[in-house]
Amino acid sequence: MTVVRKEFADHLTNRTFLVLAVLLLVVCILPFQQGLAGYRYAQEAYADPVIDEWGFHEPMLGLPNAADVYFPLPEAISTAGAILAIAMGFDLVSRERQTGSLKMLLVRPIFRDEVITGKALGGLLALTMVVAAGLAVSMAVLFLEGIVPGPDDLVSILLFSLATVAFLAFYFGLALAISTVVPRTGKAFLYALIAFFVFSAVIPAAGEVAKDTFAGAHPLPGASPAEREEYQARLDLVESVVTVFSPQRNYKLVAASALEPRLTAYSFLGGSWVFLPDDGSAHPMDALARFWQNALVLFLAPLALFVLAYIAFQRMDVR
Amino acid sequence: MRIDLSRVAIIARKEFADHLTDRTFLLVLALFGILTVLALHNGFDSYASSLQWYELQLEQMKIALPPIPANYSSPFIPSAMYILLAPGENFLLFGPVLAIAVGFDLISGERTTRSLRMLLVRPVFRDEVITGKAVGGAAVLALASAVPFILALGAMLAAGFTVTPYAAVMVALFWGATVLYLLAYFAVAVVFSGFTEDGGRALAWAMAVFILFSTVVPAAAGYAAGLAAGPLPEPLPEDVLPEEMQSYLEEEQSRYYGTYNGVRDAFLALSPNSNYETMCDTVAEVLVDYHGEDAVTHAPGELLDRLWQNIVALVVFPAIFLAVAYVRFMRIDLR
Repeated sequence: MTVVRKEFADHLTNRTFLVLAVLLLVVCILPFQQGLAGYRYAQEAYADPVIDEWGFHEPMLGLPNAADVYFPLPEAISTAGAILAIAMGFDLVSRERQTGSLKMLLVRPIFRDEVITGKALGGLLALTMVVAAGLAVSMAVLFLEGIVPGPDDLVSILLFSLATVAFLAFYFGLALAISTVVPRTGKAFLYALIAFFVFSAVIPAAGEVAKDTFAGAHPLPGASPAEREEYQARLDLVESVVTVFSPQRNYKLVAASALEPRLTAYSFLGGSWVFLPDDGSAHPMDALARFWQNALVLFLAPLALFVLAYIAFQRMDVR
Repeated sequence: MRIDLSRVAIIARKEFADHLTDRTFLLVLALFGILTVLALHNGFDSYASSLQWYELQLEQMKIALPPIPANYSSPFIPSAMYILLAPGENFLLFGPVLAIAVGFDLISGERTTRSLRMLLVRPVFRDEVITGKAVGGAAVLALASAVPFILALGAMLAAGFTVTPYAAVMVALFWGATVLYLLAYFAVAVVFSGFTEDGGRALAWAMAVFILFSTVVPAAAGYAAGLAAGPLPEPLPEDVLPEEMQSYLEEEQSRYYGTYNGVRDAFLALSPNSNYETMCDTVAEVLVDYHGEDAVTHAPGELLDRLWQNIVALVVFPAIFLAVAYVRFMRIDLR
């Protein structure tokens, strides 16, 4: 517990952490504004349905939810947030080794597992603090704008925040694990960045190629419906596999489904969203239940990385 | 004072060899290679499918003939030149990672392992050390960034497309822009490497700068331009004469967008990312003009004319940072 408190305080007074956290919040301002603008637009469209010159209704989906305002955020968080989380975790163990303070720490009456658990919990707490601060600020803005979220919205927003914490925890755990394995701080950060790079660029690009290889050619116009369906099924399979292996996409999917209960399918490769019709019967947990595998992976992956860091730390040779 | 470049060359050569045999650097480079190969694969695929689509359209036109619908334009022949540009997109986001990986440990690494003191007790001036290190790093970046482009050119030739000298020159220009862009982030990393004693911190700060320039500055630029230009010009009431309306619209809108674009571009000139993006877009545009029957070629000089602001900004940016690193290194207290 002492370790947790000390780590938490260290993070919060660390200049790099503060700068990156402020940057993360700044990065989120613009998408949040877009979300607000979209909300107001939807509100106006609902109050005063416009029929344009071709006689179409505006394709609005009824009264907007307060949770919709958060919808554009995951895009921004998935890059800047990952870097923040890596910056927090990369030197937790490697710096103590480099400066030799780890030896001093371990001669005290404290078990090794307490040290690593304390470090992980302290970091997690600091990450939660950042997300909570962002949440508080955004809620304040919502109230100032005169948007009052209903109970369902509150649950949605809370789930979204939880998903964000889990996503950040993934990269924090990754950095922590690398930090225990690599003794130099610079190298540790670099390896974590490379892992980030693999997850965010190489895996999606490989997914594109896998799509072509496994799903075959797009059926030409005039193909039978059965052929189309089969193609679509293969495509969906590749898609879901790639999504599970890419933390960014996984996070975006889970966050979107937390915020928008009517989501039934989201294709990153095709860039398309499929929603259920708005009949007022959607509950905040519905979409999450539909994508429970992704949610499970999102929450379990940081845990797996922490176990890795734990084992590496237990067996580390400190001389 | 006699300037002796041989010592600089020795240090540059040593740095160059060090980077090239460094496992992390090679790992990043290999990732770039994989990304390029995947992007090329996609490029060839989409070229093949657009060719197929083109043939389908031609067939349908034959069936539909004669009466040709008035608004029917002949289908475009797809351009294979897009494939050459496949590496560019990867550089915009992940090039800085490569550049920062080369630069962040340049000074701080030697400080943590204390080899800098050993180096400076030898008969070598401090400025020679930092110049040699910068030159060596820049050479490595130039070499590394050439790899994806060479891969792309080779793949084009292997697939049987003709690459004209003109296209090759354009690709070379593109490569030049990439080197400048990488150099910008290399310089940022070197500065932080000089100011913090610890490589990890240097890397974290460099990444913060990267986030700043890749997302915050463009957003701020749009916002500031919106403030400076004021609200959109009001449309006139409906009953004015058409000519009056026409001239009003032209005048007001050109004034509005003049201010808006001016302020925005001034802000964006600060960011290496936007400069590089503009250059990429221009080269892509030029390359795409260049195909089919009515191919338009632009002289490289004309291109430079259009892009000189971006080029100057991309040269000045690393120059300022390298100058700061130089001064810092001269005055660094090594105890």
